[in-house]
Amino acid sequence: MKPLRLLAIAGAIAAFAGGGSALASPLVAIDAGHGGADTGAVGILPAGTATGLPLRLDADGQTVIYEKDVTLDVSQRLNGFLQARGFPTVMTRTQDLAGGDVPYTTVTADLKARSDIANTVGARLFVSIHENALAATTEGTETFHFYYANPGARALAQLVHQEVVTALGLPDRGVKTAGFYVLKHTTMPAILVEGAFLSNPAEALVLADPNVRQRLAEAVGTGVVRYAEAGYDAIYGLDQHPTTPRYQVNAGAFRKLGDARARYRMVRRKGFAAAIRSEFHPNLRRNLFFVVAGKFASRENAVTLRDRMRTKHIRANIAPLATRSRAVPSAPR
Amino acid sequence: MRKLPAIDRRFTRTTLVLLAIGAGATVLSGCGGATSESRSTPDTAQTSAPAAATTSPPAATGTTTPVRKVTLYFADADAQQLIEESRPTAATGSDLRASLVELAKGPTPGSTRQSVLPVGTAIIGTNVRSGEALVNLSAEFSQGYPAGGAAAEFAVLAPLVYTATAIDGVERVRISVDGQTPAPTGSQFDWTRAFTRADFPDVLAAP
Repeated sequence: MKPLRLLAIAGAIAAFAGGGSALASPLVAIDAGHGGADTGAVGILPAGTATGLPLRLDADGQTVIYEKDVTLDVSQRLNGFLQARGFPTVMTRTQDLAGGDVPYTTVTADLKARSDIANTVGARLFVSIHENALAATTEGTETFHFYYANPGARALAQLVHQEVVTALGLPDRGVKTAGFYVLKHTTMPAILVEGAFLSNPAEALVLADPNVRQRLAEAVGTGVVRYAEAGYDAIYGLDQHPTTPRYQVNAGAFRKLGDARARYRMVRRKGFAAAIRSEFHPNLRRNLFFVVAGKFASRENAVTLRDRMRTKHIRANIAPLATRSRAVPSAPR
Repeated sequence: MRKLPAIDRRFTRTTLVLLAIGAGATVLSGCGGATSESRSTPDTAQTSAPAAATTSPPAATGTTTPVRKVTLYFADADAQQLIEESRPTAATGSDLRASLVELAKGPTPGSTRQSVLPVGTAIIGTNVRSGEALVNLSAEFSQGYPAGGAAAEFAVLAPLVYTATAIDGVERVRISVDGQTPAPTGSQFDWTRAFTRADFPDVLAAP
C-alpha cells in the first residue's frame, strides 16, 4: 500500500513541477503529531463530554482526551481544507498509528518516518500539528520553526501563527525556534503548531469541541495559503530545489547598514520577503549592504519577482548571485 | 487567570525516590582519558512542589568545606524563558556533576520555576570529552518524561542543556539513559545527537 501511495504523490509533484510559478500550490506534508502507543499529552474532561473523537478513559475511569486524537482530527480537517483549494497534500499518518501508518516502535523511528515521507515525496511545506502541555494553568498558542534549517520556515510560522491566534483567541506565546526532529530533518520549510494546552482543563475543553478543531485547521490552512500566495517559495529560491540559484533580485545597495535596514523594513511592509547581505564591491573597494528579495535558478522567475516589486514602487534589479556575501541581521540585536 | 505555582502533574509526586543502583551501575563507555564519574549511590531528582518540600532548601547545606557556586537554569512558570540561578553547592566531583546534582534538586522551594528532571531521576555519570558533556541518567528519566507538549519538554531539556553548557569547555550535551541512547516516548527531539543551545535559542531571561 505504501509504495502505491508514494507513487501517487510523485505523480502529483510531476504535474506541479511543470508550472514553476511562484503561485503554484505547493505540495504540503501534514503531520499529525504522536499516534499509536504514543498518546502525546493527556487532558482531563468533564465526564460525558462529547468530543467527536474516540472515547478515552484513564485508569480511574475519568474521561480524558489524547493529543494524538486531536492532532489526527485537526490534520484530517486541514487536509480537506487544502485539497478543496487545489493543494496537493500528503499525510504522514492517517490512522491511530505511528508515522507512515505503521505500529509504533520508538520515537526516533517514528519521527524519522515522518520526515522521510515528506522528503521522499518532495513536499514543499511541512506542517506538524500538536497540542501543548505543562501545568493546569498554562495557556496559549505557540508555533515553532527551526531558524537554522530553512529561511522560509520563519515566514510560514509567522503567517500560520497569526491565523491560529486570531481563530482560537487564546494568549499568544509567540513564534519560537526549537530543534525538533521534524523541523531539523525535513528539507522544506517546516513548522510545528502547538494550538492549545491539553494540561489546562479549560483549553482541553476548547479542543474537545469539533467546531474549534475545524477553526484551528482552517486557520493553519489559511496561513499555508497565504504563504503560497505571497510567493515565499520563489522568494527564497525554494521552488528551484535542488537546482542551484544563479540570480538574485536586489531591492537596493547601501553603504550604511541603517539605510539598508530601512529599505528592508519597507520591502517587508509591502509584503515581500527580504534579507540583508554584505558583499565587497571591488570598484568601490568597500562593503555594501544589499537588500536581497530572492534567489533564483531561472532568470524568468527573477524577472517575475522584479516586476512584481516594481508594481509596488520598489526599485528592484536582477544581478548574478553573490556567492561571497554574508548574512547581516535585519535589525539591531 | 491567576497564575499558581505551575508544577506539572507528572512532577508533583511527593514520594522521594531513593535509588540504590548497585556496584554494576552503568558508566558511560569510552572514557578516552577524560574525566568520568559515577557513583554507587546516585544523586536523585526530588520533587520540587513547594508544599511537599520536606527536604532542606538546596542552598542551606551548612557545610564547612569551601563552598563553590554553580550556575543553574530553570524554566519560568510558563516555560517561556530560562532564569539563571547561582547557587552554592557542597556536591563533590567535577563542576558538571555538581551543577547537575543541584539542578536535580529543583528550583529553590517557593519559587514558581519549573522542576527539571522527572522525579527519581539519578545522575549516574558525567564525563566531558572534546567539548561534549556526556550525561548518563537513570531509567526514571525516560519513564517520567513528558508524554507530550513543547512547553513540558522545554522545561525538562532546556535547563539541562543550558546548565551543562554553562561549564567552561562544554558546547554540547549528549544524554544517555542507563548508558544507552534514550527514546522517551512523546519527545519531538533527536536523541541520537548531542544537544546544543541552538536547539533552544534566545530563551534566556534578561538578568
